[in-house]
This record gives sequence, structure tokens and C-alpha cells, in this order.
Amino acid sequence: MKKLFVFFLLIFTSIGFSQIESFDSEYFDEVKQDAWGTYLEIIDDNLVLTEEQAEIFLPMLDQYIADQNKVADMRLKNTEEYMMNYYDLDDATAEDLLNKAVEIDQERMNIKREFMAKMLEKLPAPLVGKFFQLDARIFALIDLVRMSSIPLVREED
Amino acid sequence: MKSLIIFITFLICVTSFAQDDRSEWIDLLKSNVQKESKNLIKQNLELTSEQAKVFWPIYDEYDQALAEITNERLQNISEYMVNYNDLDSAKAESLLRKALDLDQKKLDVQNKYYEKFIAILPPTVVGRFFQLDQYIELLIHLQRSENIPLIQLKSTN
Repeated sequence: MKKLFVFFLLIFTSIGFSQIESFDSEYFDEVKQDAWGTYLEIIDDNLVLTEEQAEIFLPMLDQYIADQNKVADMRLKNTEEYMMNYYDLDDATAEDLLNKAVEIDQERMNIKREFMAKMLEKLPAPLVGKFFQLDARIFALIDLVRMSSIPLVREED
Repeated sequence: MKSLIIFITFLICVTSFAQDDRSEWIDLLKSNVQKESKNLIKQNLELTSEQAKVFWPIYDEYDQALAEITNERLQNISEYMVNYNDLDSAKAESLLRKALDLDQKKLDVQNKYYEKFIAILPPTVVGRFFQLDQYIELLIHLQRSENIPLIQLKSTN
């Protein structure tokens, strides 16, 4: 897990100097790709699978990542809209963004529930448990970095 | 945001103490984190006196509802730790499903209180509150994870 901390520490530090004036979606996209790469490396380093388990687990993992990536894209779009409206955020836009954020959190949870059930059907529970322990830690770090890079809603003058 | 850094330092100090006495640490962490979280929200959420009058009673209810989920989560973690060296598939599955249910329960509480807050406060204030709340929650989550070992996989898993 050390690798993950170093990776996110680097992003965390660089984001601290980012500007609010423009939202660089390409930059965030690159960060997202790197994050998935690191995610896979950590799972690979920490989850030792038999050949038989790997045959079942890896295609499920690919699908899980693809589905979570769609959620990440939704979140990125929502963040972009927030940043674009940052200096002039009216109540209607703020509420719309908040409602979307709630939906996105629920969607992430639904995917997790769906894949946990699928994995438990075919793989030993301790293995599935370890995967979701790692998954939760990585997502928490990703979320922390993401939130640190987004300014708080401005207080009204 | 300076207080957030102090808060992180505080969590790190408390975690070091965890090596010596876990149950004392848990109690200290629970009471201090609740108090510190509220202080952080107070410092970073500038409310008018009228807004404060409606916000804080609902916040206290929200905090209490989340504290109940935290208690259940700590029970689940404690059960995991007790069974750590001899975790069979049935126990692992039950702990895993319980953890997921608790995640959903927390999301439900957040959504329920989001509706309550949005009904009486400007969305920009509610947005700022949930940004702070989630940031604090992620720090707590990561700090707690640091003290929970990953599942040990045996050759039979």
C-alpha cells in the first residue's frame, strides 16, 4: 500500500498549487488513468490468486473497473460544472450539482453491491473481502485527493 | 483549512497511541473526533444567526445518527479482529455483507439529512457543509483503515 500513498502524495502536492480559474479536464483525465493503473498494481501486489481464481476474478475486475470508471466520469463532469460556475454559483445550480452528487454516490454503491454478490457466488469470501478492503482504501484516498483539489463552495459576500 | 491539518496531526497522534491500548484509543477517538468534527464545521461554515438556529439542532441529530452507525461498524471490526487468525468463509461473508449494509445505511442517513438541510438552508451552504463533512469523514476512514489489517489468505482460500 506504500506505493499508493506515495502516488497520491505526489498528486496531492501538485494539486495544492492548481488554479481555480480554469478546469483542466485533460489533466484530471490523466490523473484518473494513472489512478486506475495504480489501483490495478495494488490489487495485483496484494491479492495472490490461484490460476483458477484468476480466470474467474480478472474478467470480473475488468468489468467492475469499467463500471466504476463510468461513475468517475459522471463525477468528473459534475466537478467540471461546479468549477465552471464557481464564482457565480446560484442556488438552482448548487442544488442540481448536489442532487447529482447524491446520485453518483448511490451509483458507486450499487456497482459495489452488484459485484460483491457476483464475486461471492464464485470465489472464497476471504478473497472477496480482501479485494473490497483494498478497493475501499484506494477509493478513500482517491476521494481525499479529489476533494482536496476542489475548493469549498464560496461563502456569500 | 489550517484546522484540518491540525486535525490530521491529531488523528495521527491518537493512532500512535492505538498501538498501546486499542479500546482506550477507540473511546478517545470517538469522543474527540465528534467534538473536533463539530469544531471544524463551526470554523469553516459561516452561518448567520438565523441559519445557525436551524442548522445546529439538525446537525446534532445527524451526528447522532452517524455515531450509531459508527458503533455498529466498530462492533463489526471488533468481530473481524477476534476472528482474524481463523477467519472462515461463512464469517468472512457475513462480516463483508454487514460492512456493505453499514455503508448503505450511512449513505441513507446522509441522503435523509441532505433533504432536511436543503429544505431549510440555501443550497450553497448545504453544499459547503457536505464538502467539509465528507472530507473529515474520509480522513477518519483512512486513519481507521490504517489500524485494521488486511485479511490473511490461507492456501485453502
